[in-house]
Amino acid sequence: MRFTLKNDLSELNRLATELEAFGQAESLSPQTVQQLNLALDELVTNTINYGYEQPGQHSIEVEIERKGDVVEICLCDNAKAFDPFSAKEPDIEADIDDRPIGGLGVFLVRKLMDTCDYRRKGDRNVVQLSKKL
Amino acid sequence: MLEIKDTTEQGITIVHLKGRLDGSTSAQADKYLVDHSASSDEASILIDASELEYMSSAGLRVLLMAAKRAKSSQGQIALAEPQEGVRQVLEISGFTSILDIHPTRAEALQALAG
Repeated sequence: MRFTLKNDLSELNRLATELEAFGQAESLSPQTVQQLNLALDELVTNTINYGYEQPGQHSIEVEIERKGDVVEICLCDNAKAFDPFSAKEPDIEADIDDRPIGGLGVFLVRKLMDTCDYRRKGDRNVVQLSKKL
Repeated sequence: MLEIKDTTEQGITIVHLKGRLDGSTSAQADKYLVDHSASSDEASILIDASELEYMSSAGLRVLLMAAKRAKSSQGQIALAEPQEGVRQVLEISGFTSILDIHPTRAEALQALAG
């Protein structure tokens, strides 16, 4: 399954709808659908919020496929080069005063997916994720 | 889509979140909680998550900021009845150690009132 999202946070609703349809077509559990949704949501939200130096409309391409007991996802955009998995993991044991506000999104992606890879291909960021079912 | 409404029980404000708390709705939730803490003498808030279907890290950020505000004004914040998906996000991110989370609204109320 393949779809394109615009760089607008309202597209998160459509992301959820598309993934529901994918989950139904591939007989995935609601829990798996929610985890896939969360991983994509976090990465897409970061790209929309921080990825574009030029205002205007941009496209984020999503490709998601079930291969046996693995779901493979490819996320592709023309935002500025950024490897989301290069960031240091947040301290999730700090107490409330020292708890960082940022960095939790990518941390969730790493925890929910089995593999997370990034590469820069020409002027595009390509993120590949996989999750075992 | 996120619907927010509040009620008062035993003198405690209960903020009820229904729907999805993500990057497209977090500003709305944050503003609601900020406005509430600015307009109320009661620093404690109970967040009823029983109808919150989905939460991303944008929601964690809103909860963390609300908890920091409550702490600085000697208040408390409690979260009641998170559904499984939301609970998993709270657990993975270690929020179970900084937020007061209760399986039922009654228990959360009791914790805040007590």
